[in-house]
Amino acid sequence: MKRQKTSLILLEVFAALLLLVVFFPFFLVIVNAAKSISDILTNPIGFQGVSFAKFFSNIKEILQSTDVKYLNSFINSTIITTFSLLAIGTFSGMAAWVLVRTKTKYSSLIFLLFISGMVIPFQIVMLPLVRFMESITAFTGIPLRDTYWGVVLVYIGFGSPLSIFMFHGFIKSVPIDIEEAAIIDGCTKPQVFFKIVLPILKPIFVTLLVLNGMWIWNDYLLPLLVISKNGNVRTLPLAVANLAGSFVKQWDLILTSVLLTAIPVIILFLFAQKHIIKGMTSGAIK
Amino acid sequence: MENSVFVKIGKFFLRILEGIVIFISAFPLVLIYAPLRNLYKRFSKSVLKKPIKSMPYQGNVRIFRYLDKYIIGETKYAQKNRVFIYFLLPSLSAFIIFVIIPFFMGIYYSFTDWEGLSSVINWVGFANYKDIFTDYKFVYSFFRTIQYSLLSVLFVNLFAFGIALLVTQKLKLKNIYRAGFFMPNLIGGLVLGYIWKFVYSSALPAISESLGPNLSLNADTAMGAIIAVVVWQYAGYIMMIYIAALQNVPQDLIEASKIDGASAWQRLKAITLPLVAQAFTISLFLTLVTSFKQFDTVIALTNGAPAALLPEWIQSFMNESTRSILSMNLMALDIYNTGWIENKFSVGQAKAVVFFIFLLIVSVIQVTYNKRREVEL
Repeated sequence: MKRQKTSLILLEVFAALLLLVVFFPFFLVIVNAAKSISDILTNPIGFQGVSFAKFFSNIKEILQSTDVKYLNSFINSTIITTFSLLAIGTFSGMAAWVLVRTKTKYSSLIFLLFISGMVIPFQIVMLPLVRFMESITAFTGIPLRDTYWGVVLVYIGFGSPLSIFMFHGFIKSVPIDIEEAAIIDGCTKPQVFFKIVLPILKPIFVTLLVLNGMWIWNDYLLPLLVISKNGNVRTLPLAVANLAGSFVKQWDLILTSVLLTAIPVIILFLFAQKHIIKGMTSGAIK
Repeated sequence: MENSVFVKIGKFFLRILEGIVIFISAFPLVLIYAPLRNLYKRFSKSVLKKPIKSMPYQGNVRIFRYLDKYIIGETKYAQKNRVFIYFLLPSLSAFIIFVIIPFFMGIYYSFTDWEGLSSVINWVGFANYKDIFTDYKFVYSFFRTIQYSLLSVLFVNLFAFGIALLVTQKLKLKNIYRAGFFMPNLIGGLVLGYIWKFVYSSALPAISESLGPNLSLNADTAMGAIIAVVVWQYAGYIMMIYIAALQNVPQDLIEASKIDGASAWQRLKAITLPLVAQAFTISLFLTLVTSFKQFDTVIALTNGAPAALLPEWIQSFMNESTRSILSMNLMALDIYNTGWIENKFSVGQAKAVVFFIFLLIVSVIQVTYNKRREVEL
């Protein structure tokens, strides 16, 4: 018994040390965001030269920088992520539900089409996608590149296969009796979905919010192609890349912008940690 | 032009695709017609007191009869189908327009010489594919991608499984460890690339000055450096999958084996590993696909650099002389650079098709191999 206790303590110490190693880069970012560039170059690791005044002046410089347009990019990222998440969640849930509950050869064929979409890498689609969006714009006059709805629509297209797959697996395990009872009680089919099925889908919905949210908020390649680098709806990763491209060795500014990009997500994570981890673990294995 | 037939076929194909798009976008209008008609029917019954029997489209035209019976009428089929179509349409149309159609366009363009900007498209058959396979740069990048993927799949899963075993023990702060190890995954590949660029270019040299060995990025260490970053980022995510699987392993089995005198290693090998085999299938698949598609981190960290010499076996294999080459120009980055930066649209597309086929084969092999080793409880 005693041996077990000492080995547990050793494991605890080991885990804590590992956690410190994992956090070391974060520590470096925070410390160096509060230094001037000359202090970073002479001493990138220690606390030498750290001052709150410098920290705030760095942040102020990033907020005012025309390369980043931080507030603008932040709002763009938020709008695009929120709308994409809600749209992907609702639309895929709807699609998965009718695909499970309609047992025809069409529904299994369409489901197969969605599944095959999961193995298509973005690299094969990206160049024709941009051309195709441009030709749709030329044909119909609806601007798709450099607009919120264009990006959101593309995210719906790319996000729905995985989401439909996960909803499909979940809905199959939900008994149909409740829905039949609701129909007997006089619900129409859309009412059945939005009032009865959607609340049941909540756990998998949360999982998908987390998975898709991490993907869309951090995505770089898709916005890089669909939104031009200096467009109006530029997202945060594009802004950071723009800054790092124009100030190559200005580590104080780059690290401050990195910090400002990462902080909102980390704060969100710390607040919703329980749900996120639960959502991840419950959905991941299915 | 000898190729004009193919160009015509291609253009015809594109017209059809455009037609599909217009059809899809016009479809909601057809569907709106049904509720409008219902409204009108009710209105004519109660206000006009003269119920209408037939609608203008209900003549002897077969397509209208068909539409009425299956889509816009009030038959049982039509009502069922309408819900099916309404519910499926948003995601299906976005998926078809932005994924499926560009996918087939991409395959078509890989057989042409289109540069992206010009309006002249010539069918060149397999010329692009012949070009890329005789290009030592592509062969090298293909080889490096495979090397990189194997190493990163191995290390990410090793670390992830190890950490998962660690944090499923009865540790006091296990929830903090889980959240902490997961945290790097919240930060996107690009931002993370800049963080580690700083670590490798400023922080590590400063540490190594006091310790001795030189840790800066060069052609020999770049692969290891990027894999370290990916392990740091991705192991926490894969850890979550393993944790979920490990928690499903029934504790009474473990207890029983303890009473029977099994050592920790025997327990792991005989009970835990077979029972979490399903998680291995998923995790290996996820890590394999993400490492093949690795783009953000590499472009931020090194953008393909540092330069290296072409390995000798590729030199003799391709009949090339000694050349300098970008050592971390992985395939996803190479496709982007060829197609978007150098504007060699069709060549980049051919590379993407090769990439897709290879990824498909590898992941199918991996999944079928792993599936066979899974055990049902």
